[in-house]
Amino acid sequence: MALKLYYDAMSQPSRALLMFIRVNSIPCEEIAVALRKGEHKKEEFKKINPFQKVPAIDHNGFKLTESVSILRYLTREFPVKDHWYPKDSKLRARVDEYMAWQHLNLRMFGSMVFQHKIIIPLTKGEPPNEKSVARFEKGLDTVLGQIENIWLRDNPYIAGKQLSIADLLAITELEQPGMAAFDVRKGRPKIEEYMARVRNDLQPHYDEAHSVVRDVTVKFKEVMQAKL
Amino acid sequence: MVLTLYTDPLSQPARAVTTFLKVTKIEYVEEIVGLLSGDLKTPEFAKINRFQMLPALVHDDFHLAESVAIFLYLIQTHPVADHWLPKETRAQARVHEFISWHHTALRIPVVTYIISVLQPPPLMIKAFGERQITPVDVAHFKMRAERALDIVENIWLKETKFVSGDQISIADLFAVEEIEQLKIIKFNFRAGRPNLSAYLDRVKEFVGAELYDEIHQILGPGA
Repeated sequence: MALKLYYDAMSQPSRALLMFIRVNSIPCEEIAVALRKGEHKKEEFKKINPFQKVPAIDHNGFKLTESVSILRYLTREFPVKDHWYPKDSKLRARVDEYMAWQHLNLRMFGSMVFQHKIIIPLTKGEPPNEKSVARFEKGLDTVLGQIENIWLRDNPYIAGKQLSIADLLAITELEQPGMAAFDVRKGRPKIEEYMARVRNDLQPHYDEAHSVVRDVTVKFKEVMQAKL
Repeated sequence: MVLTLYTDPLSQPARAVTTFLKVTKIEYVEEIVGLLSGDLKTPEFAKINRFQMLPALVHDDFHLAESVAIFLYLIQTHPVADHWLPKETRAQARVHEFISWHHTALRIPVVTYIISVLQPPPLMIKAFGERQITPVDVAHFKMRAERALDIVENIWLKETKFVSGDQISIADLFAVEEIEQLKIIKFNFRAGRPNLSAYLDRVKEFVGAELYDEIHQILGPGA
């Protein structure tokens, strides 16, 4: 197939791409790369992405990394509706604004909470570093406050009145901390409403892409309860 | 139709946008806002940029944050040379790829190292929380910054003259500003990095030596 996607559904940007491709019925060979098994560290994968991360695509031999770049590229290469990445310069600017902001805000703190509560302790076989977890949870609280009070203040979607590629990035990041028992919705009614809205817009692809998230969320709760 | 850029020459992305505006000769008004002075925290500035960061763009009554978004908006609304963000889809994808990569992979390690050395009070809590920074920490942050520079040297500049291809693009403006920022702590980023060294000269030559030096004056002479 002309387009290949290398992904792991545990990776937030991988899920964003999975949903974009499936919702838009873009013909694509989806190739799973299991991060938990270290498949991203193998030599063959290095040829796809020298940074050894997911997601990555191969489109007719053109290899591309970085979900933000991939999403923009796919909107150019495949016929998708305008709302995903509007042609209007001001509407587009808001999508670009979110996609830039999120790297060092929601994505960074959401990932760090997940890493420090689950992945690092699991890998090291040690309990989580409470100070690190607290620091990153505080950072996550701050950026969630910005999502609640700035991004979603006047708009139903993260970058405006319509669903866009920015929402795919936002929603997948919002889903991640739940796996580490951090409830992003708590005390944040706009985020709660937003997540329900976007999930509804993207069904059935949303639930399919997030099935591993559901599984891990349940498992983590069980592990935590077993410890009590 | 008035374009106003809110900036501080101490801010890497603000310098990137400033360089672009000056080289492309897009008409704009410059407003200096103190990055470390507390100006950003005022309610007046919150009206300019709801995220209270630099740079910020105001185009008549349209307010835009985030340097990446500012670049893309300027390119979409003004005629500029193609090489800044090529229309050709693969070349364009490479520009976005570098820019996306650089936020966490270059900017963070470089900025963290610089802050750990200078330890400016307004930035310490934001960067490190309550943690006390030791010389061991500084050495660790130095190593991470060096690793990031090595990736630019050995991967991004391995086969091309500029980070995203053989022509200068907006990706390069992001790259050079993060790297030049290390001048503040007199870190020698060129040593042992011939690709990077030649690359920085190439970018400076394109921008014009006088303009480049003027924009970077605030960083000091470096190593």
